[in-house]
Amino acid sequence: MADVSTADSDRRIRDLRKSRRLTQAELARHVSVSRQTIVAVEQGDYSPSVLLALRIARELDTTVEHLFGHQLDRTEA
Amino acid sequence: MTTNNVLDRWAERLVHTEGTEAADERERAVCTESGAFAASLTLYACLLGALASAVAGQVLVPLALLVVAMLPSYSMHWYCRRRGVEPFELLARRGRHRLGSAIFAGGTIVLTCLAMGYTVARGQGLVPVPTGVVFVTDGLQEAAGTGMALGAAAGAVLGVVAVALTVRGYRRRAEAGEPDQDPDEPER
Repeated sequence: MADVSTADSDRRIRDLRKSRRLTQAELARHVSVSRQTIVAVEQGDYSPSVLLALRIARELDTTVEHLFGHQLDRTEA
Repeated sequence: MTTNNVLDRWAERLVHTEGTEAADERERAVCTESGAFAASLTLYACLLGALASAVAGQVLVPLALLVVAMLPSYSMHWYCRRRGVEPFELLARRGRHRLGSAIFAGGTIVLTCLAMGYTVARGQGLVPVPTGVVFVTDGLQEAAGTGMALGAAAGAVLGVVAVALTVRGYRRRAEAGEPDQDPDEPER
């Protein structure tokens, strides 16, 4: 599997969110968490639960694997 | 986790008195971590206080501090076991090289008990503290006691008012709406 750099992979949620013209606060409201939690998830400081990951993925019209799969690759490396 | 057991429900209710019902999962996790941090800090402060007072020839004070220090530990073990987690097994998984905190706590308790035993056997502490010296007159002591009690009461009232004002401030900010823009994003 191709190695994805940390900086690039952590920007996936941010890039997808921006491509859908959503602010962090809007995304936070849609998935029922605080804006600080979205900030922490985007910065890679917090790994969300399965439910929150599913909600974010659904909101950004993508899959959990695409958003967070790289984190598993990193822990297995 | 919700169970039908009365004790478990009571414990769960006690856990949820910290006002985290409105928090999201990360905020709850941080609150839980801060609770663990506070419990650890209290435990170490009580253990060190117990040892210091035992060395100074006290018996009841270290005993009370040891009970207070053990309470978080015993309640944690009780809570874990009721939820099917065995804390000692977790401790065993950590390996010998990471048992420093357990060794420190156990060692401090043993030393405290030895110092208390010495005091009971010899009638004085390892480090005798002079008790016959009068530092303050009776009147001054009474005034100091009254001042301390009044100060503590005033501090408690001020603390409650400060918490209420802070919560009200956050509510107002929430009603006014959080800034809806990322700090590094251009205005739309």
